[in-house]
Amino acid sequence: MAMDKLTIWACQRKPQKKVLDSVEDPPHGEISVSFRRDSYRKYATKLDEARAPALSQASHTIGMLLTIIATFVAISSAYAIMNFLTRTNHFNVANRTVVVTGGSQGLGLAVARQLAAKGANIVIVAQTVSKLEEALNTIRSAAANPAIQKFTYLSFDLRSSDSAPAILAKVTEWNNGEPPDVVFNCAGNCIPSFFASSSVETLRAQMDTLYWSCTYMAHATLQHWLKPVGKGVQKSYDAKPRHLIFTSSVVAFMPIAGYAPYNPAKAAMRSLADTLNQEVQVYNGARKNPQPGPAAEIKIHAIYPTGILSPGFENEEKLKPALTKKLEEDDQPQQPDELAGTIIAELEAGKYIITASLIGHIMKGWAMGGSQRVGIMDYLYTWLGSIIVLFIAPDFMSKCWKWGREKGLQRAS
Amino acid sequence: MLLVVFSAVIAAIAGLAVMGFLTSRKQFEVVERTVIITGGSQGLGLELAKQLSAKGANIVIVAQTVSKLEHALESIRNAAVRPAAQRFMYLSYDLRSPDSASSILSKVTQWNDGIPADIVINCAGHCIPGFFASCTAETLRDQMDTLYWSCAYMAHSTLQQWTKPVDKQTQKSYDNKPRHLIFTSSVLAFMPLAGYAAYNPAKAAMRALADTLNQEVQVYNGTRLHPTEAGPAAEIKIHAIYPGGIKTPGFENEMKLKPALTNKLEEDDKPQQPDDLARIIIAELEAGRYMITSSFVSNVMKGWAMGGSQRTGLADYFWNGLGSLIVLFIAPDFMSKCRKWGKQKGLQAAI
Repeated sequence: MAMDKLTIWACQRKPQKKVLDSVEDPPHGEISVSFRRDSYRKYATKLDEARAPALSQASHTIGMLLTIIATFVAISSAYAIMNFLTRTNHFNVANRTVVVTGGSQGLGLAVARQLAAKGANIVIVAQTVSKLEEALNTIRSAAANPAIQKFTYLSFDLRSSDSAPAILAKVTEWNNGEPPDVVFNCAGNCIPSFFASSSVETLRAQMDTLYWSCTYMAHATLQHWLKPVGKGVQKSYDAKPRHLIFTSSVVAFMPIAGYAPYNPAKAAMRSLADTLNQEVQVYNGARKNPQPGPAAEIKIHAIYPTGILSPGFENEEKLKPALTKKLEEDDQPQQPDELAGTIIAELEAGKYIITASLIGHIMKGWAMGGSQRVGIMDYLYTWLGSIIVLFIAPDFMSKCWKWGREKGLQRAS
Repeated sequence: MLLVVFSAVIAAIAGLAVMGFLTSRKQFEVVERTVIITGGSQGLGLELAKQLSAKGANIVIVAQTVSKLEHALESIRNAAVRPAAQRFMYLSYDLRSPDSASSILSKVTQWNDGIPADIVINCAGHCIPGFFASCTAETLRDQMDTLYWSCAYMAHSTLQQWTKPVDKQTQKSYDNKPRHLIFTSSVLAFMPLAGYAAYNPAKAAMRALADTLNQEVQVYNGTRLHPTEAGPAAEIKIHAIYPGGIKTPGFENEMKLKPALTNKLEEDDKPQQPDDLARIIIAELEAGRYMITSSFVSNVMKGWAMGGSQRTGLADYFWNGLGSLIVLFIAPDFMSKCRKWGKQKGLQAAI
């Protein structure tokens, strides 16, 4: 390229001023072609030398960044490909029995329908019989093998400590004496409010609806699943682990102002899931001990959605403080069907902590702490989330303070 | 390269030490101020009461048993730095009842010449360890009532009182006298451990409440600066304490019930004497810390669990970084210890 330019330049009538200025002894009068060519060559060399360090520095930095990004992409792609090629279904529900609480609407209904489409027998549990009947019809019509699969509903108030043992007993009887294989806790609603603006009744109601409902179910379920059996029975369950699933929320990763009755209940749920995730390791280990032990390996999962566009969502939005809406403006609420699909895929991939959007992954990443990481993406998000939160955390505090100062006490909460 | 990293770490530690000296240590004034301490008749609550009495505070302790309260109040009074000027009272209440908190606050306000208490420290609670499936539903509920609801009710009534709007004059008189609401959670809120199944969720709920309130009081604190509208009298500050084991009267009970696996998992944590712990807590409050931890282990745990919570001071960033690295090894190690335990012991002996 330099040669072409050189030739072109050498043929120009008048050499450029900047080139002549760079030459030590510019001649007077007519300038020969050879002089022009030599001068240009010297000028071009000088330019190159001047640009070289800056260029190489800039290209070094760009090079480094590109390498980091490329490595990240490479690792995640390689992992995704490997995963895809070697994928085992860690959540096979064909011919197995699944109990879904909160299964008459919203996420619970979407999960129940999609698991029916995968061949499961479904029991949905909620309070209102008319909703349960309608829901069961939808679930039944989604069945993969309607002739073989079984469906039923149970109407119970999950906040009562008597309900869960009764539900487990009824399902076991209905399921030919076998306890359910999967217990999926989806029951719940959200009543947002500032803490000091809430009534004590609302604070208690949220804890009952969200935490106690799934805690009682977990407690009753484990009583059945931990009954010791002989090695013969254990062997028949070797490839059929049992699953206990909780539906928490991203607010368990970071509580947000205006969700005061809701945040602690979801955090308590996360803590229960983490506790059980360690405790079931003991039970799973005991299966390998010569003494009688639990029939099947037990797996715990906890789901942390952001907003869900379920029937309860409109109520939630009516009550939600304006500041809270502002703080969560980057979150796109999800359709229950889409969310259910993502959750089931993550269950099949054997994930423990399940998130369903980029914001969810990042929040999981920064809050993960001592919880079990499954797969390399959990590690990558831990790293990414931990950096992002250093900016988000002080930003939230500052937004809250500014809000108060602008609005004044009456309108701020 | 290694030398550079090493020097950077040394420089960072030195910097932090310097920062420690330069940080203001006057962010918890208690002289002539009124402090309510729940669970103040024994253990950590009693130690805090004694040490704050020695710093010039008026003290109200709240618990259930009158004989313990009377005995405790004696030792708190004896610790007073100005016994003639300082005032002391006990109140006997069951904090698990939703009606107790508002009654406590109005009694204290009346006793305090019509002025609400300045500081509320929630220390009430005890621990009933056990595996989840081995606990009764009653124990599960009992722990939530004793640990979480007791302080949630107190916080609720306290904030309703503290956020009553007052005129700008009254606000001015509180300008350098923030009010403090303090929770005593546990390192188990940072990472739950097998065998504390009834206790872990209650302490986690407490942490979530503290984090929620930490944002919500920012709103209230901002409203104080609204040019025209009446707002809360004083700025409100939230603090949460995350101890490991504490050698209190309740601790022996706890040890009797604790599963052997749980003892093994927490073998690196040395339980602290309540007076040492109280001293550290007060120092951290004076340094303006939001999340208070009192040992290397608890600092590291706070570091890995910090997430979206407010960091106060460079030290919090340091522990965040260090903890985040350490936990990558600890977390899988705990899972593997649990599994091996089950395999060795079998179902009957494991729990």
